[in-house]
Amino acid sequence: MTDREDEITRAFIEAELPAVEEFCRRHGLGWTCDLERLRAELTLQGPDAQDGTMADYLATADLTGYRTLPPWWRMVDPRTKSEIGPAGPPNPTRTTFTSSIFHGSGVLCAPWNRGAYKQLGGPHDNWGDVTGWEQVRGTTIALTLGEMVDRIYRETQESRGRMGPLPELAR
Amino acid sequence: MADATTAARPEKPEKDDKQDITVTVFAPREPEPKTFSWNKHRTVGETAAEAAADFKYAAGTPTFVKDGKILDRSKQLVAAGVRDGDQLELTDVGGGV
Repeated sequence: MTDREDEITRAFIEAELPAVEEFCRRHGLGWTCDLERLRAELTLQGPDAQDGTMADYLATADLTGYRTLPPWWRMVDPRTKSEIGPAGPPNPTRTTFTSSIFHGSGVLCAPWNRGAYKQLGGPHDNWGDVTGWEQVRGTTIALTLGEMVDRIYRETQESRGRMGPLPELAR
Repeated sequence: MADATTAARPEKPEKDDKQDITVTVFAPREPEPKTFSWNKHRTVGETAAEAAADFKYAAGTPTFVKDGKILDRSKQLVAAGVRDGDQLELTDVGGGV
């Protein structure tokens, strides 16, 4: 991306920050956004399947190219920020949402996640080109960072543990 | 002159038949909430769609969240437990994949 494109991206992000920060404040979520590196992190908790305690989750967002491109959301190891596949996201229950955004591969499957598009290595080739992400219909729609955080948060609250166990930390 | 048949009867308490409820709605795309008033027999889905339009959502499957519980879009507000003065949150329940 050019410097000019990065400046446009920063302007879009800055316009949306008050809403996502307020949402995170109301719900006790951790949110940081690095406008220089165009990265954001969302820390949240969801119910653990085993013992009723809360499990930690970390979602990172690569905001390069936003809004021409959707963010690249990843559910990563909350301890190391490494990508860990299915151990990253929560394991959703089929309660309110007809189907979950959390895929068995660990990818967050939504048109508002760049990483879900097959042209970029994800599982989906049914949404057209990634640059048309805002026009995709018939599935989850989230057109601002606040709405994306809202969906990740709601599904995490309805989850029961992680899809897979966290890997052991290297000594 | 009053007799047994016309003696004053105690007044029945007035039924609370307030039909409209006023709620505060928060949306994740705006930092400030908005206030709405709706007939309590309208559905969650209809009213959430109106709120979403007011918050400039383009499309989707909006519903409300009350006290952390996502409300059934097909239910009337009153049946879904929405009461005058409630604070609701707008969310989208469109399917994932």
